[in-house]
Amino acid sequence: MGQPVETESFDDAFDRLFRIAYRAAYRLLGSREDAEDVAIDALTRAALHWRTVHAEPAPWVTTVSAHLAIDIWRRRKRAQTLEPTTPSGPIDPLDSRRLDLVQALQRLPRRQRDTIVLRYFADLSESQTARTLGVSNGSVKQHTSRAMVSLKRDLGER
Amino acid sequence: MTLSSSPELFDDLDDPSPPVPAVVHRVEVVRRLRRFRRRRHAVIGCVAATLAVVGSTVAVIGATTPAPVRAALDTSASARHNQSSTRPHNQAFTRPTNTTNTTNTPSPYGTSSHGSSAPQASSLQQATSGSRAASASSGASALPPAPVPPPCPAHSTRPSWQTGRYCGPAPHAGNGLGPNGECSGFETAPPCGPGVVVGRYYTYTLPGRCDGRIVFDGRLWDSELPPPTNGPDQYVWMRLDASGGLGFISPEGAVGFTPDTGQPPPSCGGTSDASGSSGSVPAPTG
Repeated sequence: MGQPVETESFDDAFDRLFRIAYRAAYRLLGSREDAEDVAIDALTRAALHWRTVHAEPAPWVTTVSAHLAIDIWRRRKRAQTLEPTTPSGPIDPLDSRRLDLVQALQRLPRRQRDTIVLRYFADLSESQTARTLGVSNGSVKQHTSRAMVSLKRDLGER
Repeated sequence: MTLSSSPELFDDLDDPSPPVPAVVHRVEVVRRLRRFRRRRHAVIGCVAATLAVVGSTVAVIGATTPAPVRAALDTSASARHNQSSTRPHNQAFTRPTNTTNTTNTPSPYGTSSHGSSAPQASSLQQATSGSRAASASSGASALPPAPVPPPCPAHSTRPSWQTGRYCGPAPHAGNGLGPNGECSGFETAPPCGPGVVVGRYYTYTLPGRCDGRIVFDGRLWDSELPPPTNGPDQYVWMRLDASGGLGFISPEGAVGFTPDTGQPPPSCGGTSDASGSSGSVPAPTG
């Protein structure tokens, strides 16, 4: 991620941010249609808050996109609880991993989850993540370490 | 998936052929933005409408409040206003309260423009102006009741408003040649004529003319708070202080005077000053 562009307009940043938002959403959802919808939603919110997020929009869009994707998982889980359905075919192993990942992320404290999203979904460095979250580099390391321990425990080392 | 700390941790979850951002995505963002803004405007409109309804309701309640209730709410203000309206002279004054006096010869009347020897004069004048403003606002706001002033000291020999109430002997008619002892301008002896002793209180008949112009010490003076309409004469204590300021004190209040500048007397209440009950003041002779 490069230096923030002060004068970058939303139109100029649209393509780049769309790819970032789509990538974060797809990693969690595994559905092209849903990921596109989430990316559009995240960009709509970015446009609404562009005055405050235009300095570094990528981390913001990534975080919003991941949270929207997790919300979709929550809604699906609630719907399945209300109307349980038996799977009609074999489950895609990637989908299974995504489900485990989302559930593991949901169990993380908010700060640890944001750290993981920024570090591994938006591909930010430790210092960039620290600046985005407004914490120190040491705090980012600590949150990342603890989050990884939790993820390993929940997902199992495969 | 290996949970190492490498940035490529979730790369295998990426879309192998992600969509290219297209116009359709931009159009969808714009459409959602418009939808959101419409909702926001609708919410703002609802809030504004609610506030308008509440405001109009409050206004209606205020307008339909029974007269006795409104009268009770305005008791203090109305009482003061009415008292001022029926006062024959200098009706807008406020009685000075808790004034401090550090001189041996107190100057209890309002002589705001009479120099530094009357330290309480400015506050009195300000209070007078404030009271006039309050009266002008028709007493719509309920004022707190005035505090009860302390009693007068025993054997008060000098007229004073220092305790918040009039203390001292009651004034009586002046020795002028006009009706009720008014100064006519033809007197040769004080207080109407020249020779007034500075600091001494003279009993004086204050004419009720609305021009506020009087004769004292052989000179013409103009009231700082002339009455808005003609009224009956008053008996007051008049005093000339060391700084040359003139003022009266009476159970009705205290008001200062300034030397007449030769300007025509102000009209009052839409009527000419010449219509006063006692006529205009002639220029002092001599």
